[in-house]
Amino acid sequence: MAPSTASLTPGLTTFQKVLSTEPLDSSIAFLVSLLKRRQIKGSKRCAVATTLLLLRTVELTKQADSERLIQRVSEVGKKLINAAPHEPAVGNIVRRVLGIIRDEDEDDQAGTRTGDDGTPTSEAGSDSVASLEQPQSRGGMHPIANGLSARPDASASPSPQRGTSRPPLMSSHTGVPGGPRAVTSMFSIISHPTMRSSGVDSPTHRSGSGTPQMTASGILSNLRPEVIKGVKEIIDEINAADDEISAAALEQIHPQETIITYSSSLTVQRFLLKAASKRKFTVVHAESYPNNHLKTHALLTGTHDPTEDEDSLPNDSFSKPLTSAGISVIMIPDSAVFAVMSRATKVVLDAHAVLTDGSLVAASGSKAVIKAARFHRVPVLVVAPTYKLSPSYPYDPYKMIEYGDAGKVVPFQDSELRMGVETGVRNPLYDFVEAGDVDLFVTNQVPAVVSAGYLYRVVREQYHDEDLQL
Amino acid sequence: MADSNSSDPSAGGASLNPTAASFTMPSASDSNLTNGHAQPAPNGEGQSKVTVNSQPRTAESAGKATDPNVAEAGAGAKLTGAQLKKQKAAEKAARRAEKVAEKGAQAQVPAQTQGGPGPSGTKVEIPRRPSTTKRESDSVPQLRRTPSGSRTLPIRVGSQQQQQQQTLNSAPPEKEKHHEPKKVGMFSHLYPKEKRATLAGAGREIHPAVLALGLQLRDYVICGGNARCVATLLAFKKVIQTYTTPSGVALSRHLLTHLNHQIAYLRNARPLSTSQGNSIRWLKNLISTQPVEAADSEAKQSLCEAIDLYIRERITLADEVIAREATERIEDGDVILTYAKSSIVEKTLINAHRQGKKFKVIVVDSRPMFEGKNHARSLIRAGLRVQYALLTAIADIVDQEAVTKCFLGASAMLGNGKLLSRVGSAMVAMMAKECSKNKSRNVPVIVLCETVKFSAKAVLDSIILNELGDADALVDSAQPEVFSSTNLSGPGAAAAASKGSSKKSGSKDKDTTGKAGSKKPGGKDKDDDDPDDKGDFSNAGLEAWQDQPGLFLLNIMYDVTPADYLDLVICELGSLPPEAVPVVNGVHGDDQAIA
Repeated sequence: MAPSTASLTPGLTTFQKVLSTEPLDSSIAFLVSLLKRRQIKGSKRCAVATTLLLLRTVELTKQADSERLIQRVSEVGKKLINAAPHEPAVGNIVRRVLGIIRDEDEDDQAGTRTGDDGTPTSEAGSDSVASLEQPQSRGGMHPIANGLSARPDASASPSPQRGTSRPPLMSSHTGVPGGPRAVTSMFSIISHPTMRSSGVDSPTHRSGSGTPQMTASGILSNLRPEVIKGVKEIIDEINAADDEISAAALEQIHPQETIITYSSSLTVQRFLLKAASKRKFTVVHAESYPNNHLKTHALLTGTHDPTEDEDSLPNDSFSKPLTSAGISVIMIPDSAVFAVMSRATKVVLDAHAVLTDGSLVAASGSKAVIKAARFHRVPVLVVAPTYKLSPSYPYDPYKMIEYGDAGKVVPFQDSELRMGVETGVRNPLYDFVEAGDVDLFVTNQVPAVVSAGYLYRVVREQYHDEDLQL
Repeated sequence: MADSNSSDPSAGGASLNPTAASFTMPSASDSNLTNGHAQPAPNGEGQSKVTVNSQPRTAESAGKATDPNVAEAGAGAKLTGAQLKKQKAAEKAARRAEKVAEKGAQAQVPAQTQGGPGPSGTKVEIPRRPSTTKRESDSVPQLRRTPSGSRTLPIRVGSQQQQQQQTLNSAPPEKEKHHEPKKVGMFSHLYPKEKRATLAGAGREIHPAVLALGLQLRDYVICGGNARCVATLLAFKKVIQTYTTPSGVALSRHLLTHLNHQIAYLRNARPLSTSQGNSIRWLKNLISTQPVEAADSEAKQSLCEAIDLYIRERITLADEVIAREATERIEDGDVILTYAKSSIVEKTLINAHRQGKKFKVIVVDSRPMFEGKNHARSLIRAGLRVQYALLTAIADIVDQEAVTKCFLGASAMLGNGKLLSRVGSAMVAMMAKECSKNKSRNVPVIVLCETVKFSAKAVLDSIILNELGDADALVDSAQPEVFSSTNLSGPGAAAAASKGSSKKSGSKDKDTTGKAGSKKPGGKDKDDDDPDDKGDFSNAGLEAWQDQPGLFLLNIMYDVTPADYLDLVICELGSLPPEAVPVVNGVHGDDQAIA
């Protein structure tokens, strides 16, 4: 384990320091322990930390073809995911990075395989599994199969499936991965420009930067720089997510509304601030008592939360209170949510993770808020940056619920209650909210506002099919 | 009066002893003896409660003055009806003026107290002096207590010491004014129009027992529909016992006006609950139907007996019946969800436990009052299996614990079948229903409610019929509370609750004199903890909310649970669906139908 350089409790900053100074393995171990000790927690921090680590992984994996990169990234990713099963953001980022590698790889392949035939079509169907489970054997196999042993980095086999995970064009090809490969040639590139631009470049489109031009189409393709660029864009995307989401605020909030929100969320805060820049409305803020109320209070007053460690993320360090924007904010205890809900016009919530079916994991108490909103027929908006969109399906939702310090519910000093209460006191940090009660999801993706029914498509567009199971 | 006093410490004091700021219901056996409600010496809070305790005593000591008072009031009332009215109006005006004068003085009292352990006593003492001196000095001029005479009241109240206080420092009132407009628009109708009742602000016709009760109600020492109702009736019984009808008027007429003053004072201390309202209406009705020709003592005697009977029938025995009925609905293996604290729910659960039923109770609780902690504690003491959770964890609890039934207490059952209860009950009922829905289970939500609490009012939401708690109670986020050894009897919950009330009394001057403010008598057992609290407040965040424009804190006391979420209402007349509340209410939705 890498030594923690700071005397304070280690956090994101320490991790960044370690990442830049220590070798990769100890950085990985350090992040794993940070995640396990909940010293990095919260979707955003986890996402940033994961991205940074994977970026470093890619940077340090020299002389690697795509196989090797994918293998390495998923190795590291699995370690992180196992360390933090409660933080879906970690897995999301790993999938995103893997997706970038696959994209770039397909780029390369498309550019370099001139006149190649589609010989291994039969085995390509198993690529997605094989490439992950037995990457070594595949790495050795492919250069031969493609007849491109001279440049192994261009041979990544799973790339043919690239098209399948971009549904608008290629969804019909799911499971027939040989299809795209059969037509990859210089001529086909020219003759299918739409396919290429939509399939290959979209990840960079959504990051809002220029498309990486076909550097790989030349004879000397280099995968890594492109991947590194892509991963860096993920970081930018994470940091810009709140602002991009808030762009939708004015379409959702009209003057004189009463909006209920719950717990402390900078994303929601920014969303409301954006709306407040043009319109005047009322915010009712429930505090989420045992776990988040201090942060909520700090958010409301604009004071710096003393419990927060210093390493705030670039965009989070500055948050002005809603009242400074001329909004009147009413803080209520959690118990009053139902009572006040009858006057609310909208509920805006943040989520810890949004699952593919539209269910969400959110701060404990959110379920009650959502159900109360449902009873009063108040529409519920959930702001969900892309790194919170998880492709997993809630077969066992309760394993995502994490339990926190029970001393916050019944102080340990209160021995009578403490000892008398059966099976201990539980303090869940999250609620699992079944799908169906949320009316709109606001993401930083291209269709900024997604109804619950369409969410699964947005989630799936984030990731490659091969990476859904890590 | 002597009778009630003698029975005080033994029966009343013991049975009504609210450990940790709560009020236990009188049991059936001793309910007849529980006359002296005004002196529940709450052992749980130890010496800290001396403040509250001493109030009745001051009141009691001054009580002797009340007799002449009443007599003289009667003498004054020998006048014609029109004059009487005039006099009343004048009195009201005088009281108002008195309050205005007092307001300034009140705010300065804590500022003057020099920190230290003194403050808890001083506040009581300062009002005592005026009140006693007032009475003594008044006994002479009362003879000329014509309307013009009573107009001099304000002058008299502004006695030297208070004027001194006013001149000493004039800063706090400004601060107070600055705090005034912090009202949540939606709930502006609920804010008290005048200052909450204080000992010093009380008019002289207020009976000491009522005075004490008012303070106890104000500070949530007596809390809960039944407790408030019983306490009110007992206080009024004392009022009636010490009352003498002035010659020339009928008891049925004059006693009513006399009671009205008391009621107004209580209402000022805290808005009346439905149970209080219903029983007061009953009492008024009873008084007004007293035969005019009956002798004073006989009428008083019959009234007192009627009050005792009422308490026994409508509350004590009703609780017995409800508990028995509800107990039958508890089966072995049940997991029962309940929220905050309700005396009748507690009684039912303990009753069922005594009958040997094996079940588990989940007490859900929430800020800022944490009543559930007391509930959980008393259940634990009784030997039940208890689980405790906060309202935020309700989804987790309901999902994972396989709740089978949900028992709720009530503040009122409304005419349209909705339940008015402690804020948060609606969420508990809702989650009990919602979370079981997709598991093809049905969790019945059962309301235990005496018919005293049935009301003909029908409301659609929780906004109109509600009560505001002290917003400053929400400020407290001091985590984790440091427990001193002296505080063990009433930790957490009591601390938080009493802190809330301490804020109420101290909020005005909190900013200027934080220390003295939080050590005002409302703070009861907090004296030891205050340094810790202050330390935590420095970084808590919300304590300056009054100064931040646009930021409001809202602490409502009740919410309305829709009838959809209720399955059964158990009252002493039997089990009803919630829609059948008007049946109990009778045609007029009045108490009379079943009285």
